[in-house]
Amino acid sequence: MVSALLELEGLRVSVPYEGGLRRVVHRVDLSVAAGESVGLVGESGAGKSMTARTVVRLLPPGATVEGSVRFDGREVLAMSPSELRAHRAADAAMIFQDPRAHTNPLRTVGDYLTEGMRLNQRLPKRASQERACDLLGAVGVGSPRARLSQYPHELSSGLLQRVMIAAALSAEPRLLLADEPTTALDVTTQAEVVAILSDLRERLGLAMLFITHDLDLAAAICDRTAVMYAGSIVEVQGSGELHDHARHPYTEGLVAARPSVDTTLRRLPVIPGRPTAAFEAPPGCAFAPRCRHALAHCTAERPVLAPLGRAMVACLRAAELHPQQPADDEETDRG
Amino acid sequence: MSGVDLSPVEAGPIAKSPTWSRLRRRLGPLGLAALAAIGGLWLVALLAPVLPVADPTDVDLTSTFAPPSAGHPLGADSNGRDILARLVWGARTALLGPLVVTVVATAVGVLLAVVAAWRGGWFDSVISRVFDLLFGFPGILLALVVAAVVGAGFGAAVAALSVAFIPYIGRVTRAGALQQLRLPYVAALRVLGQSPTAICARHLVPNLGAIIVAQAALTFGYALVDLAALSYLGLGVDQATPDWGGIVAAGQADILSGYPQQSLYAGALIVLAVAAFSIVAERLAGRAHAWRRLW
Amino acid sequence: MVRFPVTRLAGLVITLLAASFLIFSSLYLTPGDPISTLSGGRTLPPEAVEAVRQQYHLDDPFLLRYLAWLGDVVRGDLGESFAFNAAVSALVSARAGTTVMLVAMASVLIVGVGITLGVLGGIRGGLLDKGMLVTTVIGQAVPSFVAAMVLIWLFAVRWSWFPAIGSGEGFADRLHHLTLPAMALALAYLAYVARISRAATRDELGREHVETARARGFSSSQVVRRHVVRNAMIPIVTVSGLTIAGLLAGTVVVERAFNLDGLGSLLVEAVVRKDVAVVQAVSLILVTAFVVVNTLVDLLYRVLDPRMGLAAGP
Repeated sequence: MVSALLELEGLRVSVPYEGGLRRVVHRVDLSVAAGESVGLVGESGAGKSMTARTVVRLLPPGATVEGSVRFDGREVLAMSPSELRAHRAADAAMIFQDPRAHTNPLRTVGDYLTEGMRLNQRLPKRASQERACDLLGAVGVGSPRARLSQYPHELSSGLLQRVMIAAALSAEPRLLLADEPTTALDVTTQAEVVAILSDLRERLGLAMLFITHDLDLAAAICDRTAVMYAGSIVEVQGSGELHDHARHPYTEGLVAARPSVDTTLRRLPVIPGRPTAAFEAPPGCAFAPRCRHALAHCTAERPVLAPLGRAMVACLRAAELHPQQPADDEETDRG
Repeated sequence: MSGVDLSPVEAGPIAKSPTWSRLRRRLGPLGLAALAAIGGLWLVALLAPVLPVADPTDVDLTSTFAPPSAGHPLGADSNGRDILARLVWGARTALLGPLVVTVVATAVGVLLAVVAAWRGGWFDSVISRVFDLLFGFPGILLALVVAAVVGAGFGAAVAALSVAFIPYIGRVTRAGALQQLRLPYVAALRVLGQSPTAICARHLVPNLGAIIVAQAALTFGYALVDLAALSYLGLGVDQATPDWGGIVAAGQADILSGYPQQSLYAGALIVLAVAAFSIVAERLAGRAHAWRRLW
Repeated sequence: MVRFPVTRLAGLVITLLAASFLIFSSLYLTPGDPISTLSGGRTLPPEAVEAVRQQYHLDDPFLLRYLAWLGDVVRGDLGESFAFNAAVSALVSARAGTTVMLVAMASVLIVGVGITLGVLGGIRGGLLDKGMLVTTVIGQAVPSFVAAMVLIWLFAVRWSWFPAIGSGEGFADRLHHLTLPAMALALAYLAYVARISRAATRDELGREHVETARARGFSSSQVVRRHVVRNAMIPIVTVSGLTIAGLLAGTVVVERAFNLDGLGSLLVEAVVRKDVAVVQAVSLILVTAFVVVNTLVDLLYRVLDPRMGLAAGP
C-alpha cells in the first residue's frame, strides 16, 4: 500500500473576523496519492481554498489550524520557518485564480519566472533563463525569449495564467495546488489551460489538488473528486462515478443544476436556499435545511464521511437512499 | 433528479441604523474626541464675550510676564495682558476666518464641479484646467499677491484663500460626480423627466455628501494654518485684535527673553484645532487613498 | 511613447503662461493707475515716471504689455524695485541661495527620515508603528511657524545648540544656521510622508503578488526587498515630490520666523512695502519652481511604473 503523498486529517481552520475567529473549515479528511489528481468542488464559502492553502500554510495572519497536514510523511503544521520555506520552494507549488493580481506589475515576466530558480535553487542567471524558455514552451507560450523581457500588463490573462503555471513548475514540485485557475478565463482559454495541466501531469507525474466550483471541469481533469459543503467534505468518488452516481443530496443537486445539451427541461432545477459557510452552519447536518431528503435526526446528528461502496459519503441517509446492488459492485469493479 | 423549486427567497427586514449611531461608529473613539475638541473650541469662541476672563486688550505694565495666578490663570504677556483672555478671544478670528473660507470654497467648488461634470465637453475641460491651475498656486502665495495689490488685511486674506481653496473641494467633487453620473439612477431620473438641477440638487450632491464634508473639514484645517501664518506674518488680522497666529508672532521676541508661554500656548491651540479637524476629516472619508491622484 | 512627455510639457508651458498672466494682471487689478501701484504710492520725478512708462509699455495695448513683460522676464530682466532701489534680478539672485539651501535641507529630512520611518513602521508593525501613528497625526498638524517657536525655545534658548536667527556666512556656518529652519519647515511634511509611506507599504504587504512570493518559499526579507519596497515606492515618491513642491510656499513663513535672507522673506517685505515688481518676480519664480517640480514628479511616476506608457523596458 503506497502511502499518500498528501494526507489531510481532521483539518479545522478558523480565520480572524472583526475581533473574533470564524470557522471556515469544519473538518476535512482527504488524501492525494503521488501522481493522482484530486478535485475539490464546492460553492463560494465552502472552504476549498483554505483547505488547499493549509498544505503550504498560506493562511491569513491570525488564522488557526488544527489537525494534521502530512506531506510525504512530514507534518507541515509543525515545520519551522526554514523548513516551511524549503517545503514551499520544492515540494508543493500553488497557482491562483487571478494571474494579474498575483504577478508583480513592476517586474518582467522573465524576472517572475526565474526568481524561484535564482533565489531558491541558486541557478545562475543564464541557466535560469534557459530553463524559463523551456518551461514557457512546455506550457505553450510562443516566442519565449521575447516574453522574458515583457511586463505582465502586456500579456493577456490566458497567457499570464500559463506563465504562472510555468513558474510553478520551475520548482519541480511534486504537488500542484490549483486554486480555481480557470475561473477568471473565458471558456476557450479554460479548455487550453486544462489541456496543458493534463498534459504536464502525465509527463511529469505531478499530483494535483484542483479547486473549482465546476463539477464538469473537475470530471474532465481529476481522477477523484471531493465535494465540499459548509467546510466539510460531503462526498468523495471517482470523477466519472460521481457524475453518474452521486450519493450525497448536495452533489445530486449540483449535477442536476448543470444544464446539459442532451436533455430537455422546462425549468432549470435549483437547490433551494443559499450556500452556507462553516461558521453559519446549523447543528447537525449542514445541508439539512436545503435537503429534500432531510428527516428529524438529520438536524440532530452531524454526519461523518463513511464509505458506501467505492465512495465516501457524509450523509445519515446515504445507505438508505442508495441501496447497494450487485450491479453497482460490478460497475465499480471496472474503475 | 431533484425537484423544481421556485418558491420566492425570503428576504429579511432591512434595518437602517439611525444616522447618529452610524456616524459614531465611523468616527470611532478618537474621532469622537476630536469632534468634542472642535465643539469645545467653537463654544469658547462663540461665548468669549460672556466667559469669565479678563479683557484681552487690558494693558497692565505692572504685571508683565506675571506667572499663573488667580487673576491670570495662564500668566500675562510682555504688556501685562492676560494670556488666557487673549487665547479665548483669539479663537474667534482663528475659527471664523477658516469657516468663511471653507463655506465659500465649498459652495463655489461644488457648484463648478457638478456643473462641469454634468455638462462635460469644453466646459469641463476649462473648469478642470482652472482647477489644476489654481491648485498649483499655493494659498499663501495667492494671499501675498493679493495683499500686495489691495493692501494687507483680514478680508483680503480670507478672500484670497477662499479662491485658492476652491480646487481642493472642486477636484474631489468633480471626480465623485463623474463617478455618480455613470450610475443607472441618474439615467433613470432623466427618463422620468426630472430637470438636471433637480437631479443634482436632490440626489447627486447629497450622495457626494460624505466626501464633500470630509474634504471641507480638511480644507478648514489648511485654511486655519494659512490664515494663522498670514497673521503671524502681520498680513492677516490687524495687530490690535487678538488672534492665535498674531499671538505667536507677538510672543516670539519673548521666547528669546525666556518667556515662551504666549507663543507656545497659542501654537498648541492651533495644533489642537488642525489635528482635530484632520482626524474628523479622515474618519469621515473612510479609507481614502490620499496619494492617488484624482484626475 | 514619446508623445506623452511632449503633451505634458505643453501642459506645463500653458500652466506657466496662465500663471504668469495672472501674476502680471494683478498689477492692473488694483485701484488707481499702474504707476502709483508700481511706485507703492510714492511720488516720482517725471523722468522716473517716463522710465516706468517705457519699461512697462504702459502706452501699448494690454496683450503687448504682457508679451513685452514676459520677454523681459525670460531674458532675465525682472524690472526695477522702488522699495529696495535695486534691480529685481540682483535682489533675487542674492537671496536665492539661502532659499535653495533651506529647501534642499528640508527635502533631505523629509525623504530620508520620513520615508524610512514610514516604511520601517509599515513592515515591522508593533510598537514602532503605533508610536509613529500618534506622532505623525500630531506632527502633521504643526504649522511651520509653531514648530519654529518650539525649536527656537528648546534648541536656541534653553540649550544653545543652534542660533535663533540669521543665515550665517560660509557653507558650514550656513548649514548650522539653517538646521532649525529646515526642521521647522520639514516637520509637517515629514509626518505626512511618513504616514503615506507606512500606508503604501502596508497596502503592498497585503497584495496578492506578495502572497505568491511567499508561496514560492522566499524569505521575509527577500519578499520585502523584491516585491514590497519597490512597489510601494511609486506612490511614496510621487507624494514626496509633491510635498517638496509645497515646501517652496512654506519658505515664506519660515524665513520670516528665523530672519533669513531668502526669497520668501524678500516676498513678505515686498508685500509690506507694496513693491509690486518684486512681488511679481518672486511669485513667478516660486510658482514656476512649484509647477516644474510637479511636472517632473508626474513624469517620474510614469517612468517608474511600466504600466503607464513611458517605459521602454526593464
